[in-house]
Amino acid sequence: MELKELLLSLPALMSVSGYERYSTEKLNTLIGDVFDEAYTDAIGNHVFIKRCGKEKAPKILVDCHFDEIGMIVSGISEDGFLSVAGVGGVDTRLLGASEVVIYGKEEISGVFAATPPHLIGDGEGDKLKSLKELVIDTGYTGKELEDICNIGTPVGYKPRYTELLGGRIAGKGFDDKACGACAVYGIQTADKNSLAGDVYFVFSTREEIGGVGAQTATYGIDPDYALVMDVTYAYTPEMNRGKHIYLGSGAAVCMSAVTDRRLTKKVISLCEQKGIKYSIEAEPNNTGTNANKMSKVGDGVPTVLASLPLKNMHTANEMLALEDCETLSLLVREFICSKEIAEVFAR
Amino acid sequence: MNKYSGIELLEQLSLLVGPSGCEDKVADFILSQIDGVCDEYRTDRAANLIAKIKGKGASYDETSPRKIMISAHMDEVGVMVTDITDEGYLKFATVGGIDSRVLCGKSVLLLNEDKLCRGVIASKPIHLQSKSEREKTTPISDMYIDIGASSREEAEKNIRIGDEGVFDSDFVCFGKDKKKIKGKALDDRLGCAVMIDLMREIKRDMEDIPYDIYFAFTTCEEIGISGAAVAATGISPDLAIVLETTAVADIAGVGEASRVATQGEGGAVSYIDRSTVYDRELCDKVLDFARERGIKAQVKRYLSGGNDASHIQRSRDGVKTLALSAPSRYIHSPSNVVHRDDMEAIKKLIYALIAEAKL
Repeated sequence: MELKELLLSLPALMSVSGYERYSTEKLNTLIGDVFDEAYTDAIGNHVFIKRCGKEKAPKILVDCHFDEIGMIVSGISEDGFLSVAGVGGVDTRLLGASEVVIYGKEEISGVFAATPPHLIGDGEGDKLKSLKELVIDTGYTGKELEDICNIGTPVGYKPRYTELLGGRIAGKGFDDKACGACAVYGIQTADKNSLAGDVYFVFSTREEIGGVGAQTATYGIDPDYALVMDVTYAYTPEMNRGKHIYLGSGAAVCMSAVTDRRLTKKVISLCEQKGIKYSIEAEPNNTGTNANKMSKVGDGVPTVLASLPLKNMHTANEMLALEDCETLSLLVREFICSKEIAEVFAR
Repeated sequence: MNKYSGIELLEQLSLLVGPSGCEDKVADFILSQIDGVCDEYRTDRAANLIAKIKGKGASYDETSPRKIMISAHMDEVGVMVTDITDEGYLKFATVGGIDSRVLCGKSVLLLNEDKLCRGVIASKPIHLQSKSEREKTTPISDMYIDIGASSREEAEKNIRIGDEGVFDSDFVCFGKDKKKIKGKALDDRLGCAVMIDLMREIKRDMEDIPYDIYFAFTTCEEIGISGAAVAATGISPDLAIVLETTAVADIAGVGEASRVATQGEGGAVSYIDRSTVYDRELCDKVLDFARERGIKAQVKRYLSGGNDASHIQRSRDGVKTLALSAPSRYIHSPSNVVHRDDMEAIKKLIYALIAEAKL
């Protein structure tokens, strides 16, 4: 599958944290062909393996998290409106009149109710309702909904993708399935014979609620070294930090006390050698990604973090640049084929 | 151009880009649909499209025909680009009233001459907001449209200050038996759709047409500087009916007294709203008639909103005016929600009123 096709299909899958198994079958259909083996582990991580064909080959782990923020049904009213609780960081400012899908026994459409202006009282004009106070209109009665969904049914933003100027794409679920698309494409384009080891691609679970998935997957695989890929904040006008990470700035390679400095430097020189566009992101203590936990699993895993610049994170209109995805795919391919890195980090 | 009717017609109308002042695409489409079903049509100097079906038959007074005006507005709420920043973002203002709560994060479709340009409304991301910012709405002045441009220069190749846009939103039928319809601009393309289907049915089925009927598709309702005033002055009707959508709140957590009207219970007749006191006798007559004929209709139960009726009522030496509205949830947002049965009930009621010469 072409990269763009992967970018429009993987993020569209429903994968609200804790419900990643909902899409296992669809995921396998979409990307199974790229790999030699696949399994889903006890926690719900989707693990895909591409073998290099050599015995006692080093294990290279590439991690992207499969889960996404979303909601779960917390109440059903008699007249068919759903209350929801947030899973991960949901920005309630964006929800008025926005569209969702309710993933019950069947998938049904819903719309977040918005207070009409005539019911906004004096002085309440700028008050924001909390998620607890918001409701979803389903077009069914509460009784009819009993056969469709129940408390705990996941709810996600409606998948809808818009192509903008300059190869920018907006839609839901790019955090972090867009990185997954880059990884799959990078692995797909790597020739089996040039792999530096067996590649374990982990589409991990529950990153948005603490990173349990990546931790246990890493323990189970026991890799020689790992590449973690997540999204990072691309520059927008309100940001008071540097402007060097923006849509189009390529892979953001993270310098952090959490990640392995030697491996990170190797990756940076790999970028230099191969002409892969990158910038350096400085996150001294906490990367806010799976790298935090993975690097300290078992007897320790040398880990490098490379991120995709993203605007509007955690919204239904996250925005990425196609050129950055191409860059990240290239980085994945060169990383898993790098004999130089394997020589240093293979056990 | 294909001919559409019913829900398919509403879908086509909903997807057209027609914010106030830029209604021409809507007018062109309507013209393609009513071609052959009206006796004459014209576009007046306020860009209203007015189509006439001439009366005929035994109940029609040839020498001094009674003139009925039926109107719906073509325009929808939207945005206008007010500035382009050095970094290629667009600052904007709303065209018509839009609550800031339904703008944040939404997709928009901007119209640059005849080219469409897509964008996303963005604002300060959640991780940079202070606690107090998270509890308040974001003012529109702090939002901007991101069209993917990286510089002012790139943006200016695709958009100009003054260009208008609308919500970019799919047309979806959902809920039990897909009776609910979600889309943008159902306020008031629903009225336009009902009028187009009405014209066809009158032309096809009505042997006696007791009046000269003027169907006015009007402009600029959403900004209150109503094109309907000009249309009414030009037509000089004996009676006018405004087909509208009205904001309702028949939703969870809202008390009975504030719900305005109930979806699925037919068109809502307004006795009074924020801009018009309607003709009580006419309201009563229409509600009684609906009850007798078993056609669903209801009274609008909350004093709110306003529409073209105020301008039509005050045109020339005054016009008896009725407003019949489809109850719509979340109007002036990308997700107006209406009920299929209400659309049908409104059409049926107007048809019967004309067929039985009750106006």
